[in-house]
Amino acid sequence: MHWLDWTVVAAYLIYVVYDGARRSRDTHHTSGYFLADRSLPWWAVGLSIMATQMSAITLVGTTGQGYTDGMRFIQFYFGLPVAMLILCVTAVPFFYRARVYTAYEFLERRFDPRTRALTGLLFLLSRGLSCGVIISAPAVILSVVLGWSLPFTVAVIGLPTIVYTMIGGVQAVTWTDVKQMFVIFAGLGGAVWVILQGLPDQVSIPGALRLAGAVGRLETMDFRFSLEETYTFWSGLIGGTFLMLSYFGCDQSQVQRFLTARSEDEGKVSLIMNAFLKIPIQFLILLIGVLVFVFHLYQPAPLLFEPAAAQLLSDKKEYVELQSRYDEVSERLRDVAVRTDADSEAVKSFHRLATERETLRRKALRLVQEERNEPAYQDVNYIFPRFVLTYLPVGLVGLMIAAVFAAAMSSISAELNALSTVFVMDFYRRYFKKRGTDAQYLWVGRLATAAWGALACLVALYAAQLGSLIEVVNRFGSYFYGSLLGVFMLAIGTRWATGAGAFYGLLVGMGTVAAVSRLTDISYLWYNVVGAVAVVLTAGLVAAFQRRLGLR
Amino acid sequence: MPFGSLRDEEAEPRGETEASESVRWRRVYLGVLAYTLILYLLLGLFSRYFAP
Repeated sequence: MHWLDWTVVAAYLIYVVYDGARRSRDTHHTSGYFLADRSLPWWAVGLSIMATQMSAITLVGTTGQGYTDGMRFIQFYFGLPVAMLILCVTAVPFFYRARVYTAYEFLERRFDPRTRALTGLLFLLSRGLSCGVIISAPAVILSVVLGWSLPFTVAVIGLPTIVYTMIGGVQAVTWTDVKQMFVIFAGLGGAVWVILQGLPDQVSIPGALRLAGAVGRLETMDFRFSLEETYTFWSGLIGGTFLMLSYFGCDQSQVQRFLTARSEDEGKVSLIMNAFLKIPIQFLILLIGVLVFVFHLYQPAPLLFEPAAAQLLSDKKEYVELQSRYDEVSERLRDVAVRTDADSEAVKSFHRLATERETLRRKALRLVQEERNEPAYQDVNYIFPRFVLTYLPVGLVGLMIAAVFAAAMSSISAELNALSTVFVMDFYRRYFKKRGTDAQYLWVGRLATAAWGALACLVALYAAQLGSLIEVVNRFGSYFYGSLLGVFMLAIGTRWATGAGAFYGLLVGMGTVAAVSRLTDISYLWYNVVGAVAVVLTAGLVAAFQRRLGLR
Repeated sequence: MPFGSLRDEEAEPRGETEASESVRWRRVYLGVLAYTLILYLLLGLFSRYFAP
């Protein structure tokens, strides 16, 4: 990397730590440290909500997905605006007026301590480890493409985040999120500019998009109704609404964002801001991936985007043949792509050549799968970083790497802050030190932030070795989300639900989702619907049973 | 704690202001719904326009 790029990355890291740490002056009490004294404006909260959701792997993976699979992924977000509206009339007023620190605290008031403890514990377990994955995923990619060591990359992402989150609490999280969103947008804007500059003079932007459309990269709607397909209009709208309700309404890392708003109304507006902006932003990120695909019609594209994988196969005869054929097809594709604006016959041969090039790439990916014994190997996450390092000019490379760091750090900081809040409020204050002073809780909160951060870095370092454990935890998390939503639906939407019903409902809901995921091919987007419905039905049965036995 | 009490814990004074606030929010929600529908429509048109 050029010294100027290093300077940009270093300047970003120094500024973000400075900006986060200077928020410490308003965090000398728990309410300031965990909830910013409910003083933040809607736009800052709204940007923080967006930044928390957009992790580095969202940024890098989504552009890669746009390259390989087109715009279909946008349907995943179709339920988001609906979920935001539902949360505006349910979760925001309930949580805000209950004056709680955590979403799970609300469950004790409505149900009982064990429901709060179980949901809090499940959150700590699943989020504690997934925070490690949020660091590990971009760290592995950046270490491969930049040639850095993994511990160094993990440290560059993890340590500054731990420092500013520990010192500045939720204020640091929110205000750095705001700046990090600007860094992300600046980086993406730079990438778009380079792509458009890279198109030949005779190719217009609509012409380039038409090429992408010719190979199905711009399809945004699939109206088939299938429980097994993830990216369809109906999966996105129905399954997606439940998923977004679970994530934005029941996950402390998001609930804590709108609890910091200046007022209940500002909390609602921050969610409405997301309802307005999230789909267009995701559209833009996917479109960048599609534009990278178009860019590589005119500029050389590697057969495999992960350099280490290409290196691994470089001596294999089959791979060398594939590479030679790929270069030949790419050359012809380039010639045809320049002519397609004027010639409809050329569109047909363009489609044929593009399909052949994809087939060659699939064959190369299969070779890596066999060589590494990795059945699910894909190089989607390497596409955008490789493009950035190869084609972006000096300075802009540094900005884009800073943007990937920003995306990772904005998610990690919110997770650490939420983990610390749940640990202190739902466990330490509730079970271990009921009559502690505010200063003690604050001290434990800072310590917990550092401890969760250290654990996340350790998980990130050993993610490869912990692969199966992380997968178990992630799976566990996916069983938990919909069921947790079911518990909150009972808490906010019913009068008849009891503590026992919610508690056993949560366990049955998780078991049902586990069974569905193992025994059927239903897409994971529907798990949240299944979990939530199972919880509500179980709680209904338990409540009826208790009434019959005269236990209520 | 019984159900209703959470909601009423910090309840604002009821009356004309609350009613007009509620109408205002309802309009905002309808606006968001309308915007979402237009967004779906535009996305569909975008795909169709650039389809082969």
